[in-house]
Amino acid sequence: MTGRLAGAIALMLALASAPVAPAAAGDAARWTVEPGSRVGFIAQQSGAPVEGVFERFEAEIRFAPGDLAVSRVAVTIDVASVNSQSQDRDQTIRSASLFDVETWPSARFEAERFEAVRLEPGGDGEFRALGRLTLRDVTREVVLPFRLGFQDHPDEPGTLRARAVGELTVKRLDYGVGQGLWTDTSVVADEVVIVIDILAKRAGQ
Amino acid sequence: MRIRNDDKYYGLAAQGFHWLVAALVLTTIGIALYMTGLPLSPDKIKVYNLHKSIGVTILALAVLRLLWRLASPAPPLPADMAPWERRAARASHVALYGLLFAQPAIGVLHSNAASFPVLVFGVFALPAVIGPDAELKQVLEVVHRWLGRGFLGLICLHVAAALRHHFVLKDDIMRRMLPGRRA
Repeated sequence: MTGRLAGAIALMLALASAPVAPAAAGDAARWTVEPGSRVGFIAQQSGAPVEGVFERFEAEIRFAPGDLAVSRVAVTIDVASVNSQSQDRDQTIRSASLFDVETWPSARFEAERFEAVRLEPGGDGEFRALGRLTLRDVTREVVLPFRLGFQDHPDEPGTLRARAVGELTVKRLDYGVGQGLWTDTSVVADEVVIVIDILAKRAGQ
Repeated sequence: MRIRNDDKYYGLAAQGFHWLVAALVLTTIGIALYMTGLPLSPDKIKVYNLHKSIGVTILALAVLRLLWRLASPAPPLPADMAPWERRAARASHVALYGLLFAQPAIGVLHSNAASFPVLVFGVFALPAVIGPDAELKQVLEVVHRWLGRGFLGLICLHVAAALRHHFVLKDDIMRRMLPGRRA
């Protein structure tokens, strides 16, 4: 979720700072998420890391060159698409005790503010996305740091492709992800790292 | 009692291994029979972690025990045992040793394939030997379950044979594994 958001942010930033981005004022540019993108998490179970991904997510990434103020990213994750390499665990993650996908099928990340932490020549750099993360029915403000890089699209010369990589640590119980017995953090830790690795290209190119 | 085996009795070390491993095996089988029906919850994972911790301990003890057995051979069987009895005793002991190695190892592989960490008494997690594999997990699950049942059956046979030696044949076979007895 954050990943998508980060990706979107990254794209926006990239467009803003990249040598490309010649669009006229008010002409919003869209970025399209590409295969190979990943939105996942690393949880601690019994003191060992357990990784999972959300196989289905959608991201709306808009970037107006030179006008970050109108840029925004919205990522919607299909929580039921979780894959942690264990059907038993995935089923539990979907259940009412954790994400309750029957009631709240989506998780969402939205951000409208982006900050450059460190800029490098060519538009690469480190950024922060300031936004909101919604899990179940709880929405909280979060800051997603991410690293952004640009290159020519390997399959489509002339098209710009951006890659955004970031991590965001959240406390699952802040969002109610863990009801009843699952409020126990001795087996599954409260802190979960959301990891994103988003590839996106300029839409319409 | 001596630490090493002599030509009639098992020594303290072999007896210690035998009874400690017996207690651990029966405990972890008992836990196994209880735990599989639980709904997935933190408590279930804790119970599984205990089962796994004991299993890993059994595997470590099996290595030490086998090394000790090589260093201090078992006392010979009574001279009047029939060949089929010797073969049966040998086969069942080899099978029991094999299970002490195979059953924990399969359990660890099953945890790896299921993508669940093997945490040993809350102290450290074993590194995964193989990656997640849903199909292999199903196979290992069935193998582990049936080997466990076979293990329990073999233990019953082992106990029955010991009791037969003691009460029917009235020899020293069972007594030689009991502490503090000297004829």
